Amino acid sequence: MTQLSRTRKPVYLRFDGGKVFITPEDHPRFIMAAKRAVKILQREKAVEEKLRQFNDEYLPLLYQWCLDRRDKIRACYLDAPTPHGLTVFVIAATDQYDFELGDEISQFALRLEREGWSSNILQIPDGEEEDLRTFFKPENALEVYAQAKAASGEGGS
Amino acid sequence: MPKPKQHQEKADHNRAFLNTLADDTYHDWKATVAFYVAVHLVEKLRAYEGEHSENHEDRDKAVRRDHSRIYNAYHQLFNVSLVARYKSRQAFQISAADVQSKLIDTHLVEIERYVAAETVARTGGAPPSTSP
Repeated sequence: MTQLSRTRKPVYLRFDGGKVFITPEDHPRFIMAAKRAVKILQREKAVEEKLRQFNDEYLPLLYQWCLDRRDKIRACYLDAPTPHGLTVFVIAATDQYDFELGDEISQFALRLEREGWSSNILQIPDGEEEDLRTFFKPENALEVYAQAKAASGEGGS
Repeated sequence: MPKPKQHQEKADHNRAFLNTLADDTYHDWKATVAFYVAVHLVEKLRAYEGEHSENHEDRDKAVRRDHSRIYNAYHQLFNVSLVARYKSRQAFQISAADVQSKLIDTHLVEIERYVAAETVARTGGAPPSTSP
């Protein structure tokens, strides 16, 4: 039969003259717990800060980059992040792979890498919506930028 | 984990195959094989550092981080090969001339030269044979 030899008790605090005192024998235990709490809070704060930067810096940067190339880009999607960073799908304005846009994508990806926003940016020539599913699931992605798709083959004679 | 020499052998093997693809009907495969030559050349550089890529994303990031000079060449090969492999045959609109001149003769050659120079810098000797 298991027998608890010693029951752990709370860390006792003493309030004296507006100051808090910790019972000396409980002090190391309290410090250990406090360190763990501080680390968790710091991690959460870091995550919150990064999320804020993501919303306030990364997404507007990506949107503006696309907007500046609106003659070459029809849409831009941010896929669900992976441990290797962010994956961005840039849908070209035409059904041709655009080598010049490819050059610009590489330059932008290198800039983002230097700024701590590691992004793998892929160009997909425009095509049927169903084609996109070959590369990513639109329902899991964030549409960062989009232009209305030009209607084709409508109207007849 | 393969060693740098083994990656070079694989790159040479893929390059030799690429050089046999004379028929422009299969230029989508030429783009794909060209990319896989580049993959093994990049892996060779990573192997010198005791590294190995887990997947394409990991490798792409490593090139951005450690070999930014060839990033555009590598990434365009990656991107086009992705389109060649996953878009329908009709949707692969890059001409055979562009595959040869832009992807192979420009981007792949740039990577081959860079890796050859890096090999000399790391080994202090002549680079292993490449067959551009």
